[in-house]
Amino acid sequence: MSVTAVIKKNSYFDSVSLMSISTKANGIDGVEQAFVAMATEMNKGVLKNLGLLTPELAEAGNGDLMIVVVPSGGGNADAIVPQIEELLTRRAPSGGAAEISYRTIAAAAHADAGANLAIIAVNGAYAGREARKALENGMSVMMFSDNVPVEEEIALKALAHEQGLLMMGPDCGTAIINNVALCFGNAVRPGPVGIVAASGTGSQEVSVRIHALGGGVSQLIGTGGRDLSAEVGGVMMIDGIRALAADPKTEAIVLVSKPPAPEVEKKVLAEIADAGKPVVVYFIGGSEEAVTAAGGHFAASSLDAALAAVRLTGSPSATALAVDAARIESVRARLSPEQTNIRGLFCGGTLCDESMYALLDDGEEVWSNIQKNPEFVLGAGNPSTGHTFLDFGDDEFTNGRPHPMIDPSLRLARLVEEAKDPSVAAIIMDFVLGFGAHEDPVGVTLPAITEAKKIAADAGRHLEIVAYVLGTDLDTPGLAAQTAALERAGVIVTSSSTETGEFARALVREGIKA
Amino acid sequence: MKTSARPNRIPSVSLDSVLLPALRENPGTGKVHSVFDRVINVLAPCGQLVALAAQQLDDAPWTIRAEVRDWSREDVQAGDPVAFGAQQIRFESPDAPTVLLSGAREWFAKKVSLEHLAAEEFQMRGHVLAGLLDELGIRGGILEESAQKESAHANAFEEQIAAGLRNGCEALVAAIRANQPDHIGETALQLLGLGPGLTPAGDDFLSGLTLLAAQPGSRLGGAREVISAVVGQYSDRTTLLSWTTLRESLDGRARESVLELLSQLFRQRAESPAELARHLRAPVNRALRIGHTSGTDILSGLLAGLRLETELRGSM
Repeated sequence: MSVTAVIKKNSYFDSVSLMSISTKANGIDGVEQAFVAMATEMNKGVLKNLGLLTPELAEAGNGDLMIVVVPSGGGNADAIVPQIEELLTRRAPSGGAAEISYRTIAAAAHADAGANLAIIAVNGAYAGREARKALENGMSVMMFSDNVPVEEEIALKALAHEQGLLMMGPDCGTAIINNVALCFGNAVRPGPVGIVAASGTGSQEVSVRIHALGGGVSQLIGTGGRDLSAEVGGVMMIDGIRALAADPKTEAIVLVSKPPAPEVEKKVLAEIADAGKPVVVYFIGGSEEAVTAAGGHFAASSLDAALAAVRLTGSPSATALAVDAARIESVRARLSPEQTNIRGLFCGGTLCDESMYALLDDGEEVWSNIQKNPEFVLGAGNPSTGHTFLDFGDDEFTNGRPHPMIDPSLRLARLVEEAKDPSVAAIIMDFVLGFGAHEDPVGVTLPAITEAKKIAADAGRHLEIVAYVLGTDLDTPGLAAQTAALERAGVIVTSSSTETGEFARALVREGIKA
Repeated sequence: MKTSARPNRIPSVSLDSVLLPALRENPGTGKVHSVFDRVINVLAPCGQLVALAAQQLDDAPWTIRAEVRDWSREDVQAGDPVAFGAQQIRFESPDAPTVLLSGAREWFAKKVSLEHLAAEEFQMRGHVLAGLLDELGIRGGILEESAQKESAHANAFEEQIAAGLRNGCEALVAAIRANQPDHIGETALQLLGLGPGLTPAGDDFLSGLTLLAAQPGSRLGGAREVISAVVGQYSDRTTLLSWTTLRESLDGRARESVLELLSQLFRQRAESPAELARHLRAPVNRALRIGHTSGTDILSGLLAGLRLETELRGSM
C-alpha cells in the first residue's frame, strides 16, 4: 500500500485542532484515508500492524506529530503533501493595530464609556459571572454560551430588567442590533420590522423572508431558547416587546418561538395590547384564537409571519405560497412503490420543527430527536425509521463538536447512510448562510449528495434531494450562487422553510407513490 | 484609530503550591516547550514541565493561571529561552511578557478519604457516574462510537486504536481484579501512549484510574504502585505533557475540575442515586470539557476504579 507521511518535529496541537486537521486531511482530493497522531510507540505499533510504518515514521519521536496519508488510486502524493502542510500552518494571531483588547469587561467599560453591549461566548460555567459584570457596568448582554443553569438565567434576566437592559440568552445565537448582525445573523435590509425570537434559525428565517419580500428589519432581539419556559417566564420576550414598542424605527413587531409554556404564552400575549403597534405572533403549534383574542396577528408559518409583517408595514406587495403541483408529480413519477419515507437532515432546529409539524398536522407519524411526543423520540445514535426528521444542532449531536452550521461532518455521514435505505423517497436538508456560518455550506455537502444519489442509482432507485438555502443576496456566499450549485447537482431547491414543509407534506399527503 | 497598548507584565491569579519552593530552589533558564492559544508550556531548569494557563482554565498541578484571556497576541515560540525566578517567569525574546508570581493565590490538590466507604456506596456511585458518562460523554476515545457512526467514519487506524484501547482497558481491569502485578504492568504499558492526541486516550484512562487509587483508603494501592513503576520506567513511551499529567495523577493530583468531581462524588453518604446524579451533572460536564475526549477518558478510568473498589470491598 502506498503511503505518504508528513512528520512535524516537536509539534503540538490541541486535540480539537488535531481533529480538525484529520477531518480536513480526509477531505483532500486524492486522499483515501488520512491519520493524524502523535508518534508514540503504541501509535507507531498500530501503523506497523496496518503495514503503513515507513522507516521515516519509525524514526519519529513521541513529541513529533505524524500525518499519514493513503492516496486513492488516482491520488498524486506530490500534490497532497503541500495541502497537508498548509493544514498544519498555525493561524496567525488575529487582530491588528486598529483593534484593542481588554482583559476584563470592567476594563472595557472603563476605557470606552460608549460600550453598551457585551457578547459573551465563554464556557457556560463562567458565562453567568461575566454577564453579571457586563450588566453591572451598564451593558446589555448577548450570551452565546449554553449550559448555563436556569437559576442563573432567571437571576441575570431579573437584573437586566431592573436596569432597563437586554439579557439575550443564554444560548442566543442570532441578533441584529441597529443594523449590525451578531453571531449567526444574516445580512438583511434595514427596515421597519422588529423581531423578538426565542429561536435562532426561526428568527433568521423570518428576517431573510422579510428581506426577500422587499421589507427590512429594524432590530432582531434574541431571547435564548429557554425564555418562554415556565421557569424563566418570558422575561426577555416581554422586555423585547417593550423595547421595540419604544423604538421609533420599528413599525411592526414579530414574535417567534418554538411551542412556549401555556402560562407564559398567555403572559406574553397580554403584552400585545399595550405595544401600540401591530404584533405578529408565530409560535409553532400556537393557537390562532388566543392570538386574535389578544389583538395580535396570528401566523401559521415563518413565511406567514414575514408576509404579515411586510403587509403591515406597507412594504412591496407579497403573495401567499403555492406549492408547485407539477413539480410534486414529477418527483412522484420517478419513485418506486416501496419508496414511502421522507428523511429530514437539518442544521436549524426551527426549520426542522416547521417541516416536521407540516407532516404531523396531517396525522403522519414522524420520528425525531426533537419530538415532543416521547413515543416518537429518536436518539442521535439510532437508525432512522419511517419519516425521520433530525435536528443536528440539538445538544445530543453537538456534544463535544461545533454546531452543524460550522462543522457538517455528522450530517454528511448521515446523508450517505440514509441513501442506502430503499424505503427513502426524499431527503430534505437546509443550508444556513450568514455571519458565523460555514464559508461554503453547499460546496462542502455536494460530494455527499453526489454519493447519495449514486448509491440509490446503483440500486435502481431515484433519490430526490430537496434543499432550502436560508440566506440573502447580501450574504457571503450569496443565496443565488449556493442555490445554483445545488440545482446543478440535481437537487430541488425550495424558496422558504415553509415551502420546504409544504413540499414534504404534499409528497406524503396522497401517498408518495400513487 | 485606537491602538493596542499591551502591558508586558502579567499578574498571576493562582499557582500550584508546589511551584513556589521548586522555583525558589531552582532558578535559572529554561525554554518554551509548546504554545497553544490558552496555554504555554515551559520547561523549567529542573526539567519539570510548567503550564502558564489563561485565567479561565482551572487550577492544575504545575500550573500558573495568569491574567490573560489567551496567549495568541504574545510573540512566544517553542524553543524561546525563559528565565525562572522565585518572583517571576520572564520570556527572554523581544516584546515577550513577564509573568509575575507575587500575590497569586496558592492552589492545593485536595484528596478524598475512601477509608470507611462500603462496597454498596461505591456501587451506587459507579452506577450514577456510568449513567452520566453514557449520556454526556464524548465518544471516540475510550467510550466507543455507536456502531452506526463507526461504520460511517470507517478508518483503519482509528479502528485499530479503538480495539487496542478496548482490549487494553479490559485486560488491565482483569489483571487488577486478579491481583497479578506482572500482568498489571504489561497491560498498563499496552495503554501508555495509545491514542492520537497530545494526551493519548490510554494515558487518560490510566490517569482516571490511578487518581482514584491514590486517594487515602483506596484498595487499589497495590495496582497504583505497579503502574507508577511502569510509568516511571517508560517515560519515553508517551508525550511529555501526558506523562507529566499521569505522574501527577499517580500522586492524587489532577485538574481542579476532576478533583471537584471526585469531591462531589463522595460528598454525602445518605444521598439517593437520583439526588447524586443531579448534583454530579454540572461537575461531570465541567470535567468532560477537558480536551476533546480526554475528560471522558479520564472519567472512564475513574469509573473502572470505582467498579474495582466495589468488587475488592467484598460481596454485598
